Amino acid sequence: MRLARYLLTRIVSYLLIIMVGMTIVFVVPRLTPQNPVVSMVARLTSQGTFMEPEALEAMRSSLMETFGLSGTLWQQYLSFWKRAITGDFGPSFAVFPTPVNELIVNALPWTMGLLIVSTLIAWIIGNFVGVVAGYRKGRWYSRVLESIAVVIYPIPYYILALILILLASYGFGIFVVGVGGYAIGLRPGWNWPFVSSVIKNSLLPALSIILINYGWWFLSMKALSSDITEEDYVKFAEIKGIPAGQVMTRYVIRNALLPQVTQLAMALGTVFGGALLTEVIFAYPGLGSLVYMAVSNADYNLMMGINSLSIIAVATAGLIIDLAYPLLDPRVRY
Amino acid sequence: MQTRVAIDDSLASEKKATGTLVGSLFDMYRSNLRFSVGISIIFLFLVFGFIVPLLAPVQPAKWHTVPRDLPPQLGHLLGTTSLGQSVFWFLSRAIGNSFVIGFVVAALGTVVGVIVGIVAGFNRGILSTGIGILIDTFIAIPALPILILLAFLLQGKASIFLLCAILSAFNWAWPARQVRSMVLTIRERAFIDVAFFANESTWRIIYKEILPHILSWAGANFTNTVLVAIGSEMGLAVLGLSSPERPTLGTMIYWALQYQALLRGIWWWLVPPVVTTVVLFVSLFLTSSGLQDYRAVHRVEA
Amino acid sequence: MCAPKVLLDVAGLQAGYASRQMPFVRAVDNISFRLYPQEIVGLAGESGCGKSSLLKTLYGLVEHPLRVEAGSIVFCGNGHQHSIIQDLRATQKLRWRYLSYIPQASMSVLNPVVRIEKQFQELMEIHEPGLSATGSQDKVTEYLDQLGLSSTVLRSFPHQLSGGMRQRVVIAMATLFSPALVLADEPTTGLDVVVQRGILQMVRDMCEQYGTTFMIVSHDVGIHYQITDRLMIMYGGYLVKIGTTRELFEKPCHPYTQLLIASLPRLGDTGKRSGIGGSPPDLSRPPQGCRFHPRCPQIMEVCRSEIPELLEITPGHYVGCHLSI
Repeated sequence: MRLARYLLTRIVSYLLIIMVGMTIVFVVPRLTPQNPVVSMVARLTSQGTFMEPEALEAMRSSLMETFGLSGTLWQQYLSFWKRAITGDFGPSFAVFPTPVNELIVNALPWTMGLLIVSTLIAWIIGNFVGVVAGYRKGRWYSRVLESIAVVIYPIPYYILALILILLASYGFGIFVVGVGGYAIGLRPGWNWPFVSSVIKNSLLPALSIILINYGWWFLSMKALSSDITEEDYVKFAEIKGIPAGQVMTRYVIRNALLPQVTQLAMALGTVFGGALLTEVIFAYPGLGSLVYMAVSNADYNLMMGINSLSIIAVATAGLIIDLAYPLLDPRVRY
Repeated sequence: MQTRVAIDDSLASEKKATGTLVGSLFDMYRSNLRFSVGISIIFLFLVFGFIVPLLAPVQPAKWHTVPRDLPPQLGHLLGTTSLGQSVFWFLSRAIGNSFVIGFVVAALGTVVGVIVGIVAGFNRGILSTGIGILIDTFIAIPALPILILLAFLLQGKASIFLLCAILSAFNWAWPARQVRSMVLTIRERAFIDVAFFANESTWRIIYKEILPHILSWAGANFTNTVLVAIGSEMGLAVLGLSSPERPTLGTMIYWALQYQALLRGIWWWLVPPVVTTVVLFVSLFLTSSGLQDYRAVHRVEA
Repeated sequence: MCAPKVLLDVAGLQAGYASRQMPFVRAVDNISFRLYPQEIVGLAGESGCGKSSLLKTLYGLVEHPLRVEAGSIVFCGNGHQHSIIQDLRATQKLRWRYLSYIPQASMSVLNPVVRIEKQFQELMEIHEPGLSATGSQDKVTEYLDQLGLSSTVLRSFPHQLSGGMRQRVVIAMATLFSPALVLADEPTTGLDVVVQRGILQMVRDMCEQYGTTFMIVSHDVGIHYQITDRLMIMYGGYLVKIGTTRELFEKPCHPYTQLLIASLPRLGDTGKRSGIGGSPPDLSRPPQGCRFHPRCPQIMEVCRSEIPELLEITPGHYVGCHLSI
């Protein structure tokens, strides 16, 4: 009964979060003084195509329809929801008339590949090194490791990326300061030149993400595990004659991992928003670049498509964590 | 975007903030290495950002006030830009402006967050639920695309304070959530009940019993938000979406990149703001984590 | 040296806490005693008298800031004699097989996210690596069955068990390999009287069934009265009395012991019980002479200047007091 009650309130709040979030996504672009249709028509006419005023008017209204801009704000809002629920966000404005969904589907593998792999690598390394530094706090190497993380972690991402680009372009040849996801002139497909080019071009952005996330995972794991090391059950494990390595894996990691796993799930949820700065800085063809393109072209449909996806992903990740937590931590019951 | 520093929430310091804020700051300065190193560097930056520009012989942001592209030398300590600005004076003004943005956003975000959090924590009705959902939404929506969109609309025309207001809109939800859970924990404790039974007014209880617990947390959050806000503005600036005419650390990097400073070997244009940013952020982080350590230690002692 | 039938021989042990901020605190001072197989020995004293520090030292848990200055601890529980302090590495190998330790706050010493069963199996894995998985499982189940702990307990997580049940589990862990000696620090503190009784009964049974010697630290003299064969009283880092429990309660001799016993409630006793006036000595600045003299009701001139030696006044009965000379 309590479980049902909990599930119900949790799911209701999940839906509400998505609704409010999507509403914000709907409202904010409409604060723009820029009307994408007007500018599109202007662009067409400036290209020298002469059009009859009636034809122009017809085109304008059909475009307004396509971009969900016709009618009152309320009607627009309703049709926005209709689009969101059916999952069809219409054509893009920046890359007219490619459907938004197609753009997203094309960009998704790039972002997923880059972000999931680098997030996982950062998570594994950060946690592993963090637990060593937390369990063996006070040792010289723990202090060195912590100092490194304390310096890397607060650096703003683009500064880090900038430093990496500088280092890469002036020193280390293995990194390609790539333009795009792969070298120009290659055909996408499962052939070695293409795959190796993709890997080469994603090394630097991946490294930048790993570094910036590493600091965070390290610091939080170190804090968690140094607290846990003080717990009675860890002291007792040592008293029981359990070797230090096993105390670390079975006691410290086992207890510290729970919050870290939930945070990882949250981090993976944000992957669907793309890594805007990374992708823009490294000219990487993922969702982040798409967002940037959408914003700078006032591409409502595209913006809404990506933002809706990302809000749903983050909210769903939160929901899954809350529902799965009792499975991970036996102490938690609804 | 910066991931937030996890400021531990629920239990506020048992020790009541005993009015002598200066006293405890001094105590912290002596006992916490991270805090003392961080705050000392920040202090130097404050002097450099707010006092030094007053001595500037030229208008730092004005073009062609000095010869262009000079490497660092006597008279032009950090060299000059391709726009004919002195890097040294420009940098000092930029640091000041970045601080202003950071402080205003942190103050707005923290104050709003604390107020909303207290209200949500004290109210036990529909209002609390509603605020809770709003908070969760603001945490769930992707801030950067919306920020970029807003900045794009206001490109170059946003006053520094409008920019601050926009940034604050994305920096109140986190403190609000933390404060709410802190208030929920504190109000479970006996002394609040006693206060209720003693018929003290709600506001008096908040002022006397709850605020002191939250204030020390708010200090750490403030420092952390300064970091996030300066970082966000830089993010926008580097994309050219802040107001490029105003010297900040971000716009300085933006212009340097625009003029291909590196390819042309004018490293002294780009390296000073990059190094400054790194040092500034590390010292802000040290300060904020020092504050948290101090809180943690005092919680144990109490 | 191991005399015949001696399990643990402690001689002239001195240990204390050295830290930069504080003056040296000698918590264990010139302590000598012996433990024999199959007995339950109590160690009593007020909090802060050095009981727990002594117990830690006996187990070889001497990590900074705790430091052993002098003396020896010879353990003979594994067939040959072994010096606990001089050879810490070898002590580690003795732990749990031959010598175990139940720390204070044992309510929270179980790994919260692992089932009890697994925690037992982990011990088997480490201390009896020869046994197969099913073999060790059978042994654990059988052993707990003997102790009256059901298989439901085995399948539980620690937080699902009551405090008393957790304490039984911890004791069962400590005695899993029937070690020669179990050092238990306040094993019944925080439990209600009925549960306490059950636990004490369990300890008594283990002692009789497996010949295990228990050394039980408690500030509660009542516990000692119920279970121990012999009792040692500690005050201000010193042992002031060793004797059989019965003898000690009948002939307390030492004024501190008298006061401790007088502070116990007795059935049918309606008079006001006297506590002990004053407070235990600050071990970083102990008083000169007998540590107890500032609180002693029968103080003599010699007490202020000379530390009384622990003397055997009748066989097996030691007293450290100028009065008994």
